[in-house]
Amino acid sequence: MATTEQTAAPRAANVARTRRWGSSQARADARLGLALVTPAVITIIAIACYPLLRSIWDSMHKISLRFANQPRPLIWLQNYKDILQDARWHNALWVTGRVVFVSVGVELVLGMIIALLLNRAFQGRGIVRASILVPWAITTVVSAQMWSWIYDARYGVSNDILKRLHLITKPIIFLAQPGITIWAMIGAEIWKTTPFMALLLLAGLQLIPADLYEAAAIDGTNGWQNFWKITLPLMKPTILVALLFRTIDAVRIFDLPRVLTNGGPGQSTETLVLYAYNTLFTNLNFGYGSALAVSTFLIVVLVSFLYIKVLGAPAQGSRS
Amino acid sequence: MKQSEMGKRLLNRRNFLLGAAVSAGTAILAACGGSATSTPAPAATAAAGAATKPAAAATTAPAATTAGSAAAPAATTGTTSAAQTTPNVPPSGAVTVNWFAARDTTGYAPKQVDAFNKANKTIQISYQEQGAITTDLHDKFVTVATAKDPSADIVSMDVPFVPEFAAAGWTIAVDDAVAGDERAKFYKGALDGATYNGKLYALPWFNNGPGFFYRKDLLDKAGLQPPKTYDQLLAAAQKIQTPQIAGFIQQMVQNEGGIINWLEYLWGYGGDLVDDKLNVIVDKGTAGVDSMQKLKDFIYKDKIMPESTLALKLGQDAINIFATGGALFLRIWYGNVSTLYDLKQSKLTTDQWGVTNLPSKDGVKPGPGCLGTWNLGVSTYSKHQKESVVAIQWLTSLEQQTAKMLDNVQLPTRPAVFDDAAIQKKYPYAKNAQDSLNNLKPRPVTPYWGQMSADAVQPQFGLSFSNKKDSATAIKDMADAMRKIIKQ
Repeated sequence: MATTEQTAAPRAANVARTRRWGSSQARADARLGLALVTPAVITIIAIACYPLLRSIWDSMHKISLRFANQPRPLIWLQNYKDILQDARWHNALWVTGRVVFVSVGVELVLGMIIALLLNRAFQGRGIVRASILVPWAITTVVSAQMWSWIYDARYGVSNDILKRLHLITKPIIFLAQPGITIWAMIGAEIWKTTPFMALLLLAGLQLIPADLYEAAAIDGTNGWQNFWKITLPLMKPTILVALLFRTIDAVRIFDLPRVLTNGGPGQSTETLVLYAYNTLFTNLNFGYGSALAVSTFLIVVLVSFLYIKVLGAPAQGSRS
Repeated sequence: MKQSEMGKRLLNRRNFLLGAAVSAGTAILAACGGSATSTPAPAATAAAGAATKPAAAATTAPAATTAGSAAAPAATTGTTSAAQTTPNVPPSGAVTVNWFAARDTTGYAPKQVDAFNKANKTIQISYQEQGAITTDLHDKFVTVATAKDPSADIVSMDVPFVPEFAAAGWTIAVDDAVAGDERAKFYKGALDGATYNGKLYALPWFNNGPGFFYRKDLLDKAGLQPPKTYDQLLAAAQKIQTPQIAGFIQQMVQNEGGIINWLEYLWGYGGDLVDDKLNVIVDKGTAGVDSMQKLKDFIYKDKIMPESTLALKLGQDAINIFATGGALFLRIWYGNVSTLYDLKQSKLTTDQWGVTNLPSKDGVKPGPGCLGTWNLGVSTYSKHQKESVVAIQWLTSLEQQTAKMLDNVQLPTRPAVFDDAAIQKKYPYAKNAQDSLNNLKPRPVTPYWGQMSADAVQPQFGLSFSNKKDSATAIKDMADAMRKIIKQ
């Protein structure tokens, strides 16, 4: 505590007085600070930077583990050139793109509705708030397994409900029909992550001061106007953060398709990360697989960058 | 208003900072995820995921109690995980070898390991299942082997893993483990499946081939014999099937276990995927298209095979339908038969069903089945290779294989087991099983098979059988993709 107080103390007034003995003190502080920060920096380098850089380095090589002691020539960006012409990668990009746009879009709307409901005062709100988080709290692999039972053609509850409603006469094979399977997967993804979206939005809602609504009530606004003129504008930064979270998450979708469909039927549910995984672990092609992994990383960075650009705008605007 | 204005700005700035921090954090996380090559992290998560699968089965069981099938895997895992969590106290000075295994739905392997550990003072086995489907085990071992990690000593191997791991230099040759006379006591087909480039890389642990199971009671009532040809199968199924009892089921799912069910028809029509010299021949002649079309007709034209067979992920899923009275005919591995003897899982009495050889095109000879042996090999990076070899010798010994078949019906890799009187008494179908074992074909024995299967055969199989692609185009695209993989 003493150190922080000293560094934070107004320097201008005391410059002359502290300069002589303060310099050695400052040096000691700096040394201590460095010592304190070093383990964290080393950890970050070891667990984040090294694997990333190693992946990038691997991605510039031709590495196949299929046969022992194969040469690993450096081929620079050839893997990336191949990716751009790889029809399977285009397919994975298209699959991932649909997952991202549809799931994040639907989650935003559903999450907002849930957040607005949960923001109202009612009996047992705490329990409802906690229980709505359950789908999100379940491990993805577990919920994927659960959904594969729900979608089961013979015993699945989804087919049973549709049958009882007389919407279908024979069961839909949710997990083996191209064109249907991807939507079944997106449905499971929405179920799983909507609570997360709702939670983030709820946090934003609670930051809006109640007096705004009181003032609006005096002015005679209705609920709809409140939502469009007060809630939504003030929620904008929260919404963008929530969208950023979910978009990045959705671009990296892996466990759900891996357990639910393993990319099938055909390759109609093979996402970017699943493609990278299969290239690495089934095909043992570690050079190209690394390039696929790094390109996914680059997409994530690009998405983050775009969001921060958008996100930066209101923050700048409010200052002027 | 002023106050709220301030609140708004504060909010904006706070959120901006939050957003910036979060995106930086996620970028780092994404980097970690992206770096699958050099860290075992993603595979570890996959494995952890696989480990949680049984839990999923357990949680979903109440939702599907009618199936009885959910309860079954959950129950078996219960016993296996119990075996894992209560390790024996190893005698001091004993060497512990880790056995990377696939899920044993019969629950027998953990019992066998306990027996070994009790009988052995110097070597202890730590039995570690790596997930429900074989790919989980494959990917986990790849992770460990690429890291040159010594934590796997013994590894269970499906037939295609043997050439793949051997070529990559991840498993050691074990020719010395079955020298001289001992080698002749194994089935030759099983040994061939464990051989790569003339060297033996694993000991065949249990044998597996398909059987053609039928409802004896229903056939008798209709006055029919078990079918010997594909067309007899079709006729009988059409005659007997009802909305509740499907004519014929086998796993037609898009995975390794699924494509085998088509491969057997491909062989039955006289075709193959590749020839001895690894030339792709699946698009030469008509066998490829005809065999695929035959099975597709079973689903879409003749309607004896329900579309839901496209989603039967595990062999267990298929046998559960038969065991609960939902099918007339079933093609399944002998390795799954224990379900039919377990009256907690099966609604059928042993008089109600029978098993015979696979039907074929002309009925002269039984249809060929796919070699499904499981093998035990030893990791190149194991620090206890000698002890591991001793352990796999014990696990594949005649006594152990006899005891195992008596308990859980898994077929032996030594023909002598069938001479045991107790076996013959308990399993009247033992002769059929032997016929099946003498009539097995391996999948292409090449280190390329994993990729060929996953990238060429499985996707085209999936598109064709979900009726999104005609058979001719699917076979052509499959052949093109296979050629590309071999050429690379």
